[in-house]
Amino acid sequence: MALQDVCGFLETLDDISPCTYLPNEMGYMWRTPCEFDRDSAFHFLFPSQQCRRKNRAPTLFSSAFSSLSPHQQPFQLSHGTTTLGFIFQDGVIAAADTRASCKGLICCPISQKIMPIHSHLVVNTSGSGADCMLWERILTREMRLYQLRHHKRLSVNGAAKLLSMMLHPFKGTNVCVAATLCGWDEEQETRKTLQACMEIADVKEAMERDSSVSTILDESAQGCVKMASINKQDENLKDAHAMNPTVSHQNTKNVLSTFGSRSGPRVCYVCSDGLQLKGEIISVGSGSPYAYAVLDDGWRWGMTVDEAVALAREAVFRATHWDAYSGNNVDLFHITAHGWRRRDREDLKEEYYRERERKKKKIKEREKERQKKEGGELAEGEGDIYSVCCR
Amino acid sequence: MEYLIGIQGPDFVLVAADNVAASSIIQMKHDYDKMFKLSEKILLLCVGEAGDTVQFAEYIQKNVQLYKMRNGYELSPAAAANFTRKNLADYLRSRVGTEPLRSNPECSMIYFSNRDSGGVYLPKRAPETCREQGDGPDQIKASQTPYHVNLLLAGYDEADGPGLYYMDYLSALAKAPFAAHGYGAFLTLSILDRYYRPDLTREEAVDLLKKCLEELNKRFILNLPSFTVRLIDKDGIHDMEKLPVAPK
Repeated sequence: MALQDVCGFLETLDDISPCTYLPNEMGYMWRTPCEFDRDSAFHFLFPSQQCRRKNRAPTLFSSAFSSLSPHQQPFQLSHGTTTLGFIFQDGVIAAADTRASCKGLICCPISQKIMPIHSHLVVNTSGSGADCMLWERILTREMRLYQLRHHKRLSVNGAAKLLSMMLHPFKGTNVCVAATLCGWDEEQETRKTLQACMEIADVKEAMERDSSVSTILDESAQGCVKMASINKQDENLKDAHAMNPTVSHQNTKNVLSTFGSRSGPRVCYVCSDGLQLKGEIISVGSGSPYAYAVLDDGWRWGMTVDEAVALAREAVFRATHWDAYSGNNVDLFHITAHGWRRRDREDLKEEYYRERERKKKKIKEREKERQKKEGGELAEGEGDIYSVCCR
Repeated sequence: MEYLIGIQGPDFVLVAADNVAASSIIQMKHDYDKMFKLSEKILLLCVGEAGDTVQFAEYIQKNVQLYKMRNGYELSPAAAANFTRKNLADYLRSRVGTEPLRSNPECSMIYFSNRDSGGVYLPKRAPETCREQGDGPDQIKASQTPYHVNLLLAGYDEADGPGLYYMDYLSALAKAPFAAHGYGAFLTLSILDRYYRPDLTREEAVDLLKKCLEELNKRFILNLPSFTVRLIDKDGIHDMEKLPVAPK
């Protein structure tokens, strides 16, 4: 798709004039390139309904009904899932369950709802499975084209805006996509801001000179100061960066990327009905209220990675417990300035039994403590030697 | 669910909007800004259907800025209000032409590729369903693309002074001394009626606003914890303290 466009394989067009399709044996959709004439737009080709019925592969995702079916939808397509994304001081966590449901049936217990778009962006999708797959591909394509054309990666907010704009013409149709874009923006600043940062940092430079570069992860003046202290090499690298954007020193990128609010972790929600939100914690789907309850309780900006992963797991676990349309496994992605990392898929059924065991153990422990306390009080009154030894 | 309010004084306009961005029963955001800056002295407050608000408001915003770039001076609030009204009215009865049912009815998208700025995907019969209520998706009729948004436009003009314009989704425009949108308007318009005077000072206007918000907190079924407040006068747009203080 992308290569065709870049090579100018097919010319662009101005009007939407309908073209006459020559029927061939597959129906009316598969066209060879030579049949495209100058006055037909480059049509997106979809297998028709008839074709699908002929060679029917079971569709695993909830969209057993095409998004443009001419008849009334028998039920409201709800987002039967739990997906969540949140940012914290060390990046972004994206987590989701793996159940794809179709009305009352689990179509697929091992679907993948978190898709990487590029090295620093993943998207959590909920809604109609087919629509999500398509729009993920479209978004990937457009982002890659942007990167090739403009020599820099589109920011997460930019990607959200792009997706929102692309979905807008479909408002009012049955397209149902609710995507959470989770990613890390790289720095886009100009030399001027670097200069300004140097001036601010001058006062504190002496103190900060010795601090290590690679452990920087906060967005305060500290980050600015540390960046200023290695500014000389940055200036050179910036030139190199401009000429060859794919090559960049990982360390400096790490440092530079957390400067100010232009870079760093980001979470953005885009919905096919047009809602577009940036935030710190986003959860989507039928299980999202349960997830929100856990996340709001435990989220802090200064969490460690382990704490964040544990929180995300717990949130999805609780949601899958209460929500019928979420369940099976939990997928977890962690995105930092270095890119995304995927945690192994975990079966939540085991977690449920483990939790039961933990609760039983805790009850036993508490019972023991209570007995000891009572035993200890009695013994204290008599001054028994054993009460001192027992702890 | 959402609430907008505007109060015009002798040389200023005070506007406030709630900060909640909700999706069905969940508050997804507590600090969402519903005001769009059209120019140095004009604010557009926009509530309504989820995607339409941002889409329409940004469209108006960019066009007002384009006018300034082309002509060298800014649109006055009255002109901006009427421009907005015209656009809203045009979209209200816009018709995407009914295309004859083609031989490939299932092909759902057309892609226009543009080398410079990226591709655009359009539905082939766009949009199929009429977005007005009551129409089922199976009715194939001339489709309309109305924007369901309610607006308040507030601005300060050098010549005419302050102006507050009320506009609803049917693009009815009225210049008013005070105005409100949303369910909260039912509760607060009578308060504004009682206590409004054309010669309010800024402090009195803020007090009047606080009275309205107190009433909302007391009687409105939904929880609207905080409001963004802005004041426009001859010196431009000033951010004021958020009322009431948002809970942690």
